[in-house]
Amino acid sequence: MSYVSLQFGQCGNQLGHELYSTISEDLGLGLNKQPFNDAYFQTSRDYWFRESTQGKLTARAIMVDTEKKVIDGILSKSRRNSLWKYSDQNAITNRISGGSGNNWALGYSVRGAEISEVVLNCVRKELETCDRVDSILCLSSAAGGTGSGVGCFITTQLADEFPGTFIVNTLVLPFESGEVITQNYNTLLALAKLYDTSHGIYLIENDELHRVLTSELKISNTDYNALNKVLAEQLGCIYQPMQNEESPTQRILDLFSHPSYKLASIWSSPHVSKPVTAFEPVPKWEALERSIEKNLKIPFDFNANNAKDYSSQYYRSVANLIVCRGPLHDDKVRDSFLKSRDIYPKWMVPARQCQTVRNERTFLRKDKFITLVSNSSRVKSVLDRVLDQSWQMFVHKAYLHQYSKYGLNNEEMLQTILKCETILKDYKCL
Amino acid sequence: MSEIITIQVGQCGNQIGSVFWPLALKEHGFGNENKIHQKKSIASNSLHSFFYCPSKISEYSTINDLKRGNVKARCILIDMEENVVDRYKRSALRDLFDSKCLLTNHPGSGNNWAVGHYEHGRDQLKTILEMIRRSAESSDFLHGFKLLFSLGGGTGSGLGSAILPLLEDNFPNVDRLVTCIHPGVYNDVITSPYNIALSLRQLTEHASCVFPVDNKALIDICNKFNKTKERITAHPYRDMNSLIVKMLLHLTSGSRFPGPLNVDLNELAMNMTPFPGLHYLTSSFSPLDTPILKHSELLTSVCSRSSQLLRVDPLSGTVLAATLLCRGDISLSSSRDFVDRFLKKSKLVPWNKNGVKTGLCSVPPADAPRSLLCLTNSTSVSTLFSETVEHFDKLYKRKAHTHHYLKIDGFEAQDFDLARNSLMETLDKYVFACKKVEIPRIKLV
Repeated sequence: MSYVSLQFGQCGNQLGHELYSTISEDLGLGLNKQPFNDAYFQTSRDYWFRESTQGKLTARAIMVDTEKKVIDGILSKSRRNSLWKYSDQNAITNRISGGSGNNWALGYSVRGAEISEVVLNCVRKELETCDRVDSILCLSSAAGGTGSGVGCFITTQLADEFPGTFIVNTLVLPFESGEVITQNYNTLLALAKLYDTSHGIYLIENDELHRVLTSELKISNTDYNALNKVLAEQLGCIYQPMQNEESPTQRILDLFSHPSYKLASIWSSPHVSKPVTAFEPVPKWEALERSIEKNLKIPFDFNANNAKDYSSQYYRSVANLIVCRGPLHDDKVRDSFLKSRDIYPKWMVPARQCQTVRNERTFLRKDKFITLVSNSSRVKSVLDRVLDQSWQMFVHKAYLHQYSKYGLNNEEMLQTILKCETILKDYKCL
Repeated sequence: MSEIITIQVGQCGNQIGSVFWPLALKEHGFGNENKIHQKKSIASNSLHSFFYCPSKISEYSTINDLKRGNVKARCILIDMEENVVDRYKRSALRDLFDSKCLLTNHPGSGNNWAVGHYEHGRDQLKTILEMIRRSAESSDFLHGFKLLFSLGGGTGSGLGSAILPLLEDNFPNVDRLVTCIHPGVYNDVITSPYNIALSLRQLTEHASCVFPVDNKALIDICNKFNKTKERITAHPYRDMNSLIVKMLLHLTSGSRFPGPLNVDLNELAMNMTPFPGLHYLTSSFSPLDTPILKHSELLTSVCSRSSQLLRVDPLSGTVLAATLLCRGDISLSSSRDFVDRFLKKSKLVPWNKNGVKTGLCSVPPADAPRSLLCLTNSTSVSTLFSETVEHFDKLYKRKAHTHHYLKIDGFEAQDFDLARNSLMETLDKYVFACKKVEIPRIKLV
């Protein structure tokens, strides 16, 4: 069983590199003796890597960008790395003219079409090296042109070309202010397209990752690597193997069981810096579970009439998945609070509403690590914000000429906004 | 990794160029002193952005190696006199300029836009296109044309603005970034209001992004930092031009060097022009002179009016869009802090409340550990247009000097009116851009 990942644009490639580094760290690659040379090690290695001719592990990843700089940087880093590498054949850049210029339309209609044949061939070859394919993971940002534009185009092609394969997109939303000025248009265009083709979308907010770093890890001087590291650990926690499990995608399927609800958010706990862990006791599982459940709690509103039942305190969810990694010790195992609460729609089978999976093996040598993947109405606020700002731009006709230059007219932009309004409405009515 | 072709037109453009190339070499690790600059590998790997390198860059270590290795600047030098361009032929870097890319001609344009645009345009554009084409063919990742010329004179403004539509037709997907020098109050040419108005029309119609720079603003900055008056009078233009050059090097750094958040040239035009034609960006950077500034001082300095390269205060008007480009050891957290503070200091249009773009480039400039460039698309820039209209009208009311223009073949009387209309239209567009439209969001039930 294996995953094949596609990394699009600067964000996707940097995130992907961090993800594979995290996995190799979790596997303990490079430690003098291989302490974990067990079933977990074998399975995980097959998930993410293939053996190359020189015996060095090769990531089952394809790097796609319209500009050489980022990929060149990662390739040279990967050549110096003695534990695993990227395949040079899997690094695809646009040979003719570069960059997508933060323009989704340029990325989707021009660059995507230019590059797709090479990428699809590469994916085909990579899939052939796998005994069985579990899913295709696409990593990209929503803000720029390459990640969102080219990423969407290729995802659409993949869905046509490999109809039986499960495709999940990780879409990183930019900071609310100050990353790319056209980010809100690009985000909506990407979301609207991916909603038709992808099976599920992890919607990641940079602001949220930054909050984890500054207020939980107390790092005042952060960089993008640190941001990606947090997300890579979360994805690693979700996708690393479980005991006695047929296919890892099985546990994710329930999250995306309804075609109108395809967005999932991720939270994890604990985030503590290394020096702190030495002096602090390991928190109980129950405490950790409570701390991640808090993310689904609706912030207390003094003006609203707060009814005292659970259902109005929590965001409604389609489904939740809790992944726990680390030994149980003598902790009591109990059902998650999220399981018992009345926050799910009626059409969701109770047994599928909230799943908890455990593996007693530690993840990244953290005593305990817990991740919550939630398809819930909490995405309302971010969708609403993006829609609001796009709408403001749209009615002032700002930046529209940049998109129409590449064949995306105002009517299509309006349709995109409407489509995203529909997504938002569905989550509001959940 | 992208490649940029520089086109220098006229005396002013070529003088800026003569400051540009040594500094560009220094930034890529090839200093004058023939010794190897530190951190050379990353910086020199990007040498091909500005230079055509026939063999591997790692084989060169000094400027002499470059000369021997037949490395040529991606540069086209055009002047209708021989003075300035001849100086290139005698300079220490003469071997780095391809003689096929030098174009001079007799006589000059006599400060007449029409001569530069129509007369020289007619005779020279074919040769110029050939030169550009040759240069473009030797590049693999051509991302932009960087044009340098002044607005006041004849050759730069006239011929320079004739090259723009030529580029637009032949290389529609490559951005045209124009750095144009406005004479400011030092108006030594009587007909310059005509020249400025006529070229601004071409810039509005055919450029992707314009970075207007003002001589008065440059002199003010120089005076501020050179307390000793001798120094400024010794090389007035060199000091001023090096300010422009530093800005240009910073502007292109994101597409030349790697960084955690790259900004390519084509992203600038995309992010900074909300409406067609409104692509006039004011620029300010820091540090101007004192090489070491704390992170927090960088933003204060770029926001202050005294460090603007154009004599306007962008933050006093409504900001349509802004870009903060960081170079050197500036972390994500600092750049987040810059954005927050910038948003507090400035008044952005309601439809673009968060309209700031950031870039992080890890290679610092040659003379400082970190620097910050702020580009603003602000309604304040409209004073540039209203002043031009005012000066233009003063002359045009009496039809002063118009006969010099009208006698040139190709120039027609309506060109004056069209130029004035274009200025007025741009002014209207700035007003219109700030008008609030209230249409509520679509409610779905």
